Amino acid sequence: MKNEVVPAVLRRLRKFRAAIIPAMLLLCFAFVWRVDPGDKIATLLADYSAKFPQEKVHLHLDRNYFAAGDTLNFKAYVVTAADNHLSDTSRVLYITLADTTAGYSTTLQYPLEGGTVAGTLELPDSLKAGNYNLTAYTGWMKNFGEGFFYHATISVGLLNGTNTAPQKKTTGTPHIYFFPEGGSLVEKLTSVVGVKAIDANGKGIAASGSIVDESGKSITTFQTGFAGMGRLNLKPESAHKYFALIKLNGGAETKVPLPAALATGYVLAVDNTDKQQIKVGISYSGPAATQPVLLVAQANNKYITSATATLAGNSASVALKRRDFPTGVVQLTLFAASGAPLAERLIFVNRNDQLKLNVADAATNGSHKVTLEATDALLNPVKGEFSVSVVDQSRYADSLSMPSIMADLLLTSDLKGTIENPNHYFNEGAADAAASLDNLMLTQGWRRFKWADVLSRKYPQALHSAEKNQVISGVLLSTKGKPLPNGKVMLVAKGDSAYTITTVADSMGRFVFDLPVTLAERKFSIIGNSASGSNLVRILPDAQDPEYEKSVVPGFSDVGIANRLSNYLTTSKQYIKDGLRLPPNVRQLKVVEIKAKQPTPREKALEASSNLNGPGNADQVVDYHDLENCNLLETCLEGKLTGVYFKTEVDKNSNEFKKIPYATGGMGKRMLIVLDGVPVVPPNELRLNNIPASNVQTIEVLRTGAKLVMYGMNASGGALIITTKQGGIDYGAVDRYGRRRDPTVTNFAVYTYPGYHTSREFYNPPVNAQPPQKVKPRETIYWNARVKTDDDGKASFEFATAPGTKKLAIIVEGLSDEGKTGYVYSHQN
Amino acid sequence: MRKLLTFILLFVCGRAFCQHRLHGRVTDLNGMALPGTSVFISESKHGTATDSLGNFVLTSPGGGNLKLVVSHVGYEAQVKAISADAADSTLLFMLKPVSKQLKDVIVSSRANDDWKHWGAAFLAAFIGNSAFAKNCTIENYREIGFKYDNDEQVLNAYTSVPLKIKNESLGYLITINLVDFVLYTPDNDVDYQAYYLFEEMKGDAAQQKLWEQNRRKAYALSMMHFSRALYANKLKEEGYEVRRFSMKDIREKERVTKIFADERIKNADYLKDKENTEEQVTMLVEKHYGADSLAYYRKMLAKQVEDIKMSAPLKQPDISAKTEGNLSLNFKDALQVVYKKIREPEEYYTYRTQSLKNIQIVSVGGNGMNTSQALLPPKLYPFTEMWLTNGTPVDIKENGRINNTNLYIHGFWGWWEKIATKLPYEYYPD
Repeated sequence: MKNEVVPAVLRRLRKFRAAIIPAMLLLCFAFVWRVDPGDKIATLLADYSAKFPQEKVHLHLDRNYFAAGDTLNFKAYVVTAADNHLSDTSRVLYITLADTTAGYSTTLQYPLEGGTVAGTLELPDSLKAGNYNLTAYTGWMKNFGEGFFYHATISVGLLNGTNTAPQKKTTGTPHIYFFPEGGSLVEKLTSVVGVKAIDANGKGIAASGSIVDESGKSITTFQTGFAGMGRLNLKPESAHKYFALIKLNGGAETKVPLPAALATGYVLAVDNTDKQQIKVGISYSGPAATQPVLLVAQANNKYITSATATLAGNSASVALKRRDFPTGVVQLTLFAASGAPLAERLIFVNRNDQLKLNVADAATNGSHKVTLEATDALLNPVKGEFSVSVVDQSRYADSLSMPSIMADLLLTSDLKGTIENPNHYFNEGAADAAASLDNLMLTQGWRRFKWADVLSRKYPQALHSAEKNQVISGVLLSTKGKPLPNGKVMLVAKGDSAYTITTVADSMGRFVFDLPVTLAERKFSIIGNSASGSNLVRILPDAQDPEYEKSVVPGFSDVGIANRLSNYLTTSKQYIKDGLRLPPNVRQLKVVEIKAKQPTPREKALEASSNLNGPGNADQVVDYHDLENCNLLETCLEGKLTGVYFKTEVDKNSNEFKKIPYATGGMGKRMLIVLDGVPVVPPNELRLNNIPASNVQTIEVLRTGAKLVMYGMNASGGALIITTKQGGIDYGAVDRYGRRRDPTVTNFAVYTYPGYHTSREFYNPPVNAQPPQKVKPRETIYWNARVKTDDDGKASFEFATAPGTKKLAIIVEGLSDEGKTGYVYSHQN
Repeated sequence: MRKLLTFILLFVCGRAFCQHRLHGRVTDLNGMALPGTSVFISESKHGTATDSLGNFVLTSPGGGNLKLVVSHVGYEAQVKAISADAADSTLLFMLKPVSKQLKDVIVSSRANDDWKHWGAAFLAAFIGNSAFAKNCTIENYREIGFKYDNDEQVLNAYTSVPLKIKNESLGYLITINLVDFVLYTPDNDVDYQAYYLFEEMKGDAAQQKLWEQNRRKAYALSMMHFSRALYANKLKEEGYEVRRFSMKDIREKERVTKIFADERIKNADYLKDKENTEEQVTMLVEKHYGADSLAYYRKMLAKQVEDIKMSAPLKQPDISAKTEGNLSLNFKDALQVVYKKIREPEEYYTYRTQSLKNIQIVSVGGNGMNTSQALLPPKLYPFTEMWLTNGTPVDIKENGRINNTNLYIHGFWGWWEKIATKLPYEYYPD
């Protein structure tokens, strides 16, 4: 301790400052260390992750290139991020296939059981050629943004059409980005700076250049390697600016400014190469640092460890035990004593503790018996759930480039953006794998939460609950489109085994119905009322397709896939031309395209009519467009129907006046009302006003002889064929001329719930069956989404290959009961 | 200078993985330097030799519970427990020459070709019978002398030079200073004290790969794996199920079983031509011990292992107390540790069921059943029972090192933990 003499004025100033700074920090973070800051952070993070357990999805696809009309087979693995155990949180999986260039997007639902589902996705014949984004997620994952969804790109070509895929973007400038380790450059401190160079399509490119200061003096040079990534060391001095001089793609030399250096700040330098420990260097530049700093490590929203460091000579170092960490992305954050995050760095810790899969193929004459053996890192047998796909690598498959379950669950699910060839980082044979992976951590870092939010308990709003079953959800709005809280909402299931569910909307006007049984497609009506009972409300069911930023991957960006795809398409076309038999489960493609005339809105509305003369075959038709502002049918129809007059009578039951329709040529006999195909004949009576006008789809007026014959004596006074709303039409979407417009105000919505997609079974031909000679070889030779290893870690499966199969590749992926991932790509040489 | 300091990063390490440098000098009793003396940390790969002046410098792996061994041919080895602060002082050793008595035992043993007689028993108890033992050889086994005490039924083994062992299964050359080796032949109980220095064998890529695989297998089943998992509070994750149980019932059942067996042996002649031996033995027991006792004995004999009260699976805090850098294992009664990741190795299964079969064949002897297949029990997960020999807690360090003098091991690890499966404490599978 050094005694110092401080002038009184300064002392006062210091006191003042001391009072103000903590107050400000409290405002920002509402959080100050008390006893053990590490424990405090651990508690807060545990609280956050208990409230928001993260889920991750991986899909094992049988292949990633298709022709329109093909069927994609997949096995989905949904895990809890904390331990990669198969998740039981969500029971519904959504898969979206989208291509923004074609404006095509479809979302299907699949039932999850114990965190997995095996299913199919049939690619429509009508798809345009191009690359499609395949996205998979659960309802719960929608709360945390599309960045954490499963993503894959599949290529689709056409067998009967030209494959004019959007061309690879050649225009547009390539970009180079710089990422200082720890977050920012700080004057007088040497930082590692990650470099990422990409072309206009976002693909990494080789680049080399130099760093110069404002006077043009060269400081250092750099170059990028795998996936356009590299790194350099830079020690910025004060009052200098730094630029990168680079030539990208052989173009002209460009000058890119580097991020400006902070005058005061911290720099992290992580050495992740040691087998025992992760060494973290902390250095500081600025006015004397007095407070100790805290380094916190977390992985998958789970606190791992922390260390307090006192800066001696403006630097300190911390060694973290590698064995404390799980395999995966680890976030290292440096905190000030006040609780403010100062610097951050992501690293990848590989404990080499994932599964080892061994595949032994005993093949005789095209019949294969494969034994799969799964062991853990200590070579103990492992029980687990696996999926197998077998393809002929020599032909078209590019299955090696498909992200493995390992790469997906351990790496890419925690990073943002497209990760090029992620399997490379797990390739034990690649010498640069570890170094490239660390570059990736520098340049594509991404966080699932903001520390400041977690520490101040500012939690995200979970709009979507974890779906234990299928749900229909939406929002109740006022006529002006504002959320209506606490309104009553009723769901009416139509068709067989009808039922109703009522619920009350929450304070945000949101309502959720848990559907009681597993369903395929079904129609529902949703009826809503405001809390005060008014029916002047709007119902907006949630769309099935999520709204997320759609990243376009134009063209066949990977040349390998493009070549193989065109090869696949040409051979397939040749087989069809030769009139060869297609193997089972491959359907012949439609040759003739039927061009149907687009029905008008009225024709569409009449489709549901029960008119025995045929829908629309009437003297006059009134549809829901004509009844838009109608409240009571009797009043609206009077004067609207040609040749129909209304007589006012007194209702015997209610003593109210009611209006009864008569046809002019009907000889004084009442008109027959036919409601949804059911004639209402005495003694039954139906007053028109009892049919809600908003529930009417069409009314057909039958007055003249020929049209009445079909309804017999009861219709001698004419007939009104009334069809109520059946759904399948977006009633508010278009006006009678088919023009789109705003939804109308109605407390009634007809909603077609898509339900679970019915997946097809993959046809694996019996092994002993002699394969027919002239059959088009199957693209996916074998697919088995349910392979379970036993107590001894073993499983086996059999399949047959057609003659001419050259280079068999067996891809096995899966998870052990303990949440360890396994992936093997085994191929013949 | 100050500028330089800002980016030169000095990595200070925590106590747990600090590497200490030990230095010292080795002389004989007259103070003459002993160059070429082997100095090593037992059960590690950390070893060196003294220079021409008898001085040595050695990096220790840290982690506590270390034993520094100083050994020179012709002298008695010395052992010193090393604490964390030992780095600061100079360690001095004065070695005593090997006694003539000991030399004589070895010389006479060699002359009598005692290895032929006792070698197999020694190897089984020392190297083990695991699959790895097949490729594990003692290169200088002729240096081992034996002495058998007929009255006590005790076999002693002696050496005056370090044993050189080549473990071609795991790829280690092991130098062993055998201080003490006692084998109680009736119970097959072995008690020995030895110090080990490990060296990596050189091999091609294929050999290295095989060794690494075997090391992993050896590690999975090792007690070191268990003690590390216990230390790290990861028993369940690493596949262990630990339960406490009382030995009382087991002991009582053993005692009663013995009463019946003794009765059977004593009256072997009488029973020889009787048909219902079982019933006859029971009658004999009733005759000699009374009906009340018989009823009690029957109850005891009917007790199955499952009847013995086992606690629910335990966690680290249930059986130990953790302080900085140390875990103190302390429990009442006995512990059963089951490794649930892999079933017992074939060799152990054979060994274990061999003794079971003996019992069962005896008990069904009268039924004319002579097929052993029918009685083959299923393969189990390897399990070990352990208890504290005199109630003293046992210390465990982070690297899994156990101060095991107070821990009695019975069952799988008693069979498995031998030289052929032994790994240095630096070994980690990742």
